[in-house]
Amino acid sequence: MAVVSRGFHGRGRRDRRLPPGQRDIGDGFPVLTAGPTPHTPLDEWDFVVQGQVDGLHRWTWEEFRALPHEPVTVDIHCVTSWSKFDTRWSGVAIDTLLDGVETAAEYVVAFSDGGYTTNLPLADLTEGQGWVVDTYEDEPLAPEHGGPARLLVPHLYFWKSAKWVRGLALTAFDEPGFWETFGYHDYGDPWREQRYAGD
Amino acid sequence: MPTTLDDLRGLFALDLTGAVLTCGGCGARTELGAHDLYPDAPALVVRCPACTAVVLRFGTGGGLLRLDLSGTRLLTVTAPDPSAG
Repeated sequence: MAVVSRGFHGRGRRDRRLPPGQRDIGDGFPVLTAGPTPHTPLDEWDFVVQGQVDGLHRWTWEEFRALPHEPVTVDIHCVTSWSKFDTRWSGVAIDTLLDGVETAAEYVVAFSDGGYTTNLPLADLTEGQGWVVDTYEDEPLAPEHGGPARLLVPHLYFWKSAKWVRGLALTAFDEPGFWETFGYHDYGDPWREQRYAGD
Repeated sequence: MPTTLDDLRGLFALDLTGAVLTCGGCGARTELGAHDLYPDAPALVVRCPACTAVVLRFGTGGGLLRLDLSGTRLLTVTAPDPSAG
């Protein structure tokens, strides 16, 4: 198929940020949810790193908030075909959470309040590629968007950025999560349009 | 007459909104249409109104119809032809 070059320079610049099959949602931010929104009290909230690690690593909400946070401005891409540019978040890098954690694991299952799970290669969360964010556009992350905290892995389709995340289980083997067991792609690279298994 | 895979044609030709699902989590029996529906997700997610467990997922993307009933212990629906039962 021929690649058509748009004559309008500004539009062309934005289009290069759109992965194949995606459209720019603009100022909108659709709420996609597969279940009721959890409302876990912050004094009951914790975040854990478990599985193939040297013991359990756990942070209460206060401890998590005290960890170094960094601003993140990224484009996000939902498998339902909308993309949103320049979303501004703040959160804790996975590198920070895994600092000092000894593991031979190659995979991660992120798990959330409400039972949601999603799987990723560990290498896709480290080296500045993944965060647990608690702030969106300078405000505490709203429950409908995954607050108090969600995973943010912007280089993969947004279902990998688990809402209401409560921990990471490090595993030796790849274990498909909620959508991955339903025929969605195991990896989910929007630039290769990996929406469904086999794509 | 033994039941064969061909008989599945009869099941999937039916309107299932009146079908009764037994939740694989808590055992509650509920008409499909009375479940909690979450259509605004990558696929339709149907949850038990008693315990919120996922009983059914149905998707139409990627040129395939996908039906996951692993959260349903039993699905019952009235047979269209009384002689079939």
